Amino acid sequence: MRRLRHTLSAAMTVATLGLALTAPTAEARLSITLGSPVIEPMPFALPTFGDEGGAGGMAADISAVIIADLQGTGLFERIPDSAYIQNLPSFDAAVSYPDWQAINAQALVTGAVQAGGGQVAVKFCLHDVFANSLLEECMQFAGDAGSWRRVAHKVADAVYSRITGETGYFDSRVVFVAESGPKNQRQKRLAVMDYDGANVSYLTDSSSIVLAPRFSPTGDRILFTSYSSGFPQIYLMDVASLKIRSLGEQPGTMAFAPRFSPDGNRVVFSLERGGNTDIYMLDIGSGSLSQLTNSPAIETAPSFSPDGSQIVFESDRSGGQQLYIMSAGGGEPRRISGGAGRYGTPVWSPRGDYIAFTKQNAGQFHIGVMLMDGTEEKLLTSSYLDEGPTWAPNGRVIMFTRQPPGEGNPELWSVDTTGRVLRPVQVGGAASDPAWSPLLP
Amino acid sequence: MRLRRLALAALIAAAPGLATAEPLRATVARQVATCWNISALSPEAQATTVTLAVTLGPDAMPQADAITLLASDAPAAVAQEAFAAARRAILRCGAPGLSLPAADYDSWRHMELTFTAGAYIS
Repeated sequence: MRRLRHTLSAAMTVATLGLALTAPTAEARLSITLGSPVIEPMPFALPTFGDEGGAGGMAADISAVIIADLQGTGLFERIPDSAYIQNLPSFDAAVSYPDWQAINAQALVTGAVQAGGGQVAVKFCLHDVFANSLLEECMQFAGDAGSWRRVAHKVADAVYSRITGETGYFDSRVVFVAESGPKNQRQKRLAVMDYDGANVSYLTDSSSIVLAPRFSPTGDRILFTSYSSGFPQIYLMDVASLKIRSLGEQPGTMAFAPRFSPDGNRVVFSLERGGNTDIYMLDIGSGSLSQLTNSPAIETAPSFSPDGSQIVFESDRSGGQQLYIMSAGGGEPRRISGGAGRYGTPVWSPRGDYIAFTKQNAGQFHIGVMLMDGTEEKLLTSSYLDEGPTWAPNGRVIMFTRQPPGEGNPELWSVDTTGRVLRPVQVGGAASDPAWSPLLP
Repeated sequence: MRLRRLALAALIAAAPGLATAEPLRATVARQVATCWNISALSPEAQATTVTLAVTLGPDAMPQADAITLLASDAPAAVAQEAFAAARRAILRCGAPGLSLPAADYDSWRHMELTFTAGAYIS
């Protein structure tokens, strides 16, 4: 590859020289190639949105959520109010681009909030400051006043999407296991929150231990493992009604690690029978069960590819815990992990490019990503115990559980796929086993 | 080999301003690169090569309306993100006027800037 790049570079130099030699007219263009960009957060300005009636403090709250969303990505950095030269008295006031260029704002977000009758509406514009123009037409989002944070997340998603060219992930939720009580008598409940840790609400009581919740592809159902029957079995919850039903309890077996298929009609999971654990598929509608692996090894943590054609899972069939990919219909798997240490809990990115995993090696745990052929392995974190990755809907951020050594409680953390932006998610208590929802409708 | 060298020398002699082209390229690239921030772009847009046509005034300030996308190696939507970042770089660093020799205006009045970060980000 290095040789190829050198060859291309030489060819480009010759081509550039050729242009200069053959077109030395007054209209000739001086050809220049740049190859060393800057990688730093993009400075943006966002004056607190105006109140166009009834919004009160909500305008500032909405502005704060948008700023937190954008800054939390590590891709953007807000220029503080104190640096602003122009004071925009109203939403319709003309923007003086030179004033924003002078403080090096590369993007400017202006907006206003109106509230009343139990509704809130936010209109906003995204300006390309140095192009002296709007980056796109101004937009408006509206919703119930009680869901003002969602409206703010939608604004942030729109700004993020327009600048990065990718879909956002702010208007999404995360289901997780909320933990309380002493470690030897831990109580675990299913809870759900906004992606940023706000609006925590509980979905189950603490009468039985629950594990590994997973959203359906449409976000309206949650799979989870519960010990309510005395041994682990898989249950399905309807998010709107909170009604729970068992997915076929089978006495004498243990079922765990469930995940939906991309169409939401099937569940792939691990089933332990007679001391052996294999991977099975359950058709939710018909209840039919099919066995996908048949090995004396422990095979678990299955996860579908986004197109539904393949399943990645962990197995110790080679003697150590490694990652394998097989057809969604079963069959001989191929091993994809090959480095030192143990690999587990693989999860396929919604983009289809990377597989996230937990790796244990040399006394440390890591969250990492690799391509589906096992190449380009990249470890994003390193700590006493990091595990259980889950992907943001756009496949650019991963959330996971971090357990500090000693008496500390488990926490939720997030990291982007570059590994540069690593931060805790402020949940307000002990939390583990996160699973990200799709973008909300 | 001697023949090729002579031919090249003859071509350079026949091309006014060519002797100053390489320093000009280097100085423009150096000035614009400090404003070329691709952090917020998608991985696809970061890996995209875009070529922009730029016209500068005698004060060495880029004319915003005359910055156009000439070529790209990516689909239009991705190219647009990469183009926006490249145009922003030209306009930001060009805002005070690029530092260029006024006497050579005809040499740098029209530029073709190629932004290619592939080797940098891989």
